[in-house]
Amino acid sequence: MKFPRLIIGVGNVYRGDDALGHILARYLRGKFPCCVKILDRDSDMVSVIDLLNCVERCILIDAVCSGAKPGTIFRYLAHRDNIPVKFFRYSTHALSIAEYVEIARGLGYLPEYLVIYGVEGRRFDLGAGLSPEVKMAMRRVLKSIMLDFEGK
Amino acid sequence: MKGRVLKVDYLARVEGEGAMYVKIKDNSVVDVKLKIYEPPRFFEAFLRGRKFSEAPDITARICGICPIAYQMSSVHAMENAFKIKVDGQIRALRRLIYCGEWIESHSLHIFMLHAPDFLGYEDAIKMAKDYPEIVKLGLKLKKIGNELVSLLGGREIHPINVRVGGFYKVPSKKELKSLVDKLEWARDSAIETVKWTASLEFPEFEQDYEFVALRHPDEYPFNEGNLVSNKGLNITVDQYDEHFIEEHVPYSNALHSIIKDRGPYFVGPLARYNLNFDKLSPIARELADEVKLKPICKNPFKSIIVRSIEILHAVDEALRIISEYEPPDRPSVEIEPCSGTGYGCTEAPRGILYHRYRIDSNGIILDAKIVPPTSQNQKMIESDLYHFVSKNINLDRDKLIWKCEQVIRNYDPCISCATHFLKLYIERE
Repeated sequence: MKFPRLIIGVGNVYRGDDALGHILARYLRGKFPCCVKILDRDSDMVSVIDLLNCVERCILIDAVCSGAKPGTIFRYLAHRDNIPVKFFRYSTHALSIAEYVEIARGLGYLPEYLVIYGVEGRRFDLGAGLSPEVKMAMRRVLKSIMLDFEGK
Repeated sequence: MKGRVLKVDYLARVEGEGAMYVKIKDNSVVDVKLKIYEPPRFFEAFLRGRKFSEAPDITARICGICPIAYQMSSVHAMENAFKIKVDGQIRALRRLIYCGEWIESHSLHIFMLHAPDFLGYEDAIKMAKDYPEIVKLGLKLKKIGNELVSLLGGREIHPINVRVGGFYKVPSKKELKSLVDKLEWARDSAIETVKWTASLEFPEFEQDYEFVALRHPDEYPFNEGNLVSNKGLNITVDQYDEHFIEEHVPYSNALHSIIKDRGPYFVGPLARYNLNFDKLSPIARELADEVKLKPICKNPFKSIIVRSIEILHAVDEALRIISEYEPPDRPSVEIEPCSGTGYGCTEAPRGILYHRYRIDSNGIILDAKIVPPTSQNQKMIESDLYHFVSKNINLDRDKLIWKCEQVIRNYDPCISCATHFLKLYIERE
């Protein structure tokens, strides 16, 4: 049996704007206590495949580094469209969230509704804190998530 | 072909900042350079002044995929400096957590990074659509490796339960038994994996390599043994610096390792297998025989089969350790720091990982030296590229680049450990 809905926040609380997914997920946990999962950047992102396979509707939040203006919000209906390659992080050993989502698509594991929010970060340094651009963007992302999650 | 420059930006499934450069002149390879321009990471420098007990957790941060190797090499080096011997169930648990790391690291490389090369896919994403069952099997195997590391290490990446002298906390028998069913599934799946990888097509390619690995009288090596090679090397770990040197080359921020007066050498699964075939578990040896992989394999493309045999061995070894496990009275042995120099070398998934520390009487690290496996393989990768391109010089541009990428991936390079590299250039004059 699949869970009806899930919010996944991804990130590293200690690395500047990478904390975005954590912070939003923690806030949303207060509103939807049973529907939020936080994936620390230090954990193996392979677990996202299993999470996607056991839920009907899912929202995934992460900071991104694509070269866009800091604070830019990307919203992808990932159940419908492929995630652009610019969000893949090339690595010998660790695949990115975007790559695991695409593998899940190949395996037929995507939920019927999957929205991915990516917010372009400005700084990812250790102990840097959130940049003003990302702080501003967070409010807009939150509003949009509430519509995605509550409105349907 | 004259005057052509072949360039590939962002070599897929390879991480970091750098480039591979191959120059061809008059249809001959004249230059191969592994250019690593990722800034150095200075781990050895910032270990200075830290307590000996911090080394396992600091060095684990060097790599997200092989943190256990860093923890193990550092604790062995410290125990060597303090003249402490860890044995019994604590030693067995160290082997067990290493089994978990080999299972998860090899599974990732075989199924996600290396297999697409052999099946003609750009990456695992595209492969997953046509080979979903293979990818699912790989992901499940990896997850079981992760679970083993999590149970013993406290978490799957950068574990926090390893200490000099043992562990902070050891598992109960019941906790370990909870993994038996999964590991039995993993053993069957590893057998399938060996058969499947052996059925792939491999280019004919061999060199007269010098393979270097640990060798232990009683077991396939994880943590202990002498350093041996197929060309007569047989030394204790504390003699490492007398036989191996690191060289700085102007085009790379990662040091190149060579054997003194001989040159490049080859570490990793293929070296371990060739130097320790007789120490593999019986089931792993039988499978090698069944798929007609001889006890000596010099084709680096076949390292995918050897990795799958090592998964089978690691799963079998994990089941053996769990079946014989009795929780020790204490999770670690007592440590009395003293001044001295300690040497440690263990078998990371990618090959030998050497640590050396000089410690003062208060247990403070005065200096540190760490030589990761990818740094040791760098020169061999260049040599393989030189010979492979020379042998296949008439292949068309795209095919040659594709094959060069495979040559590199045969080594499962961890550029995070040795720093990083990324781009591939082939220049023809």
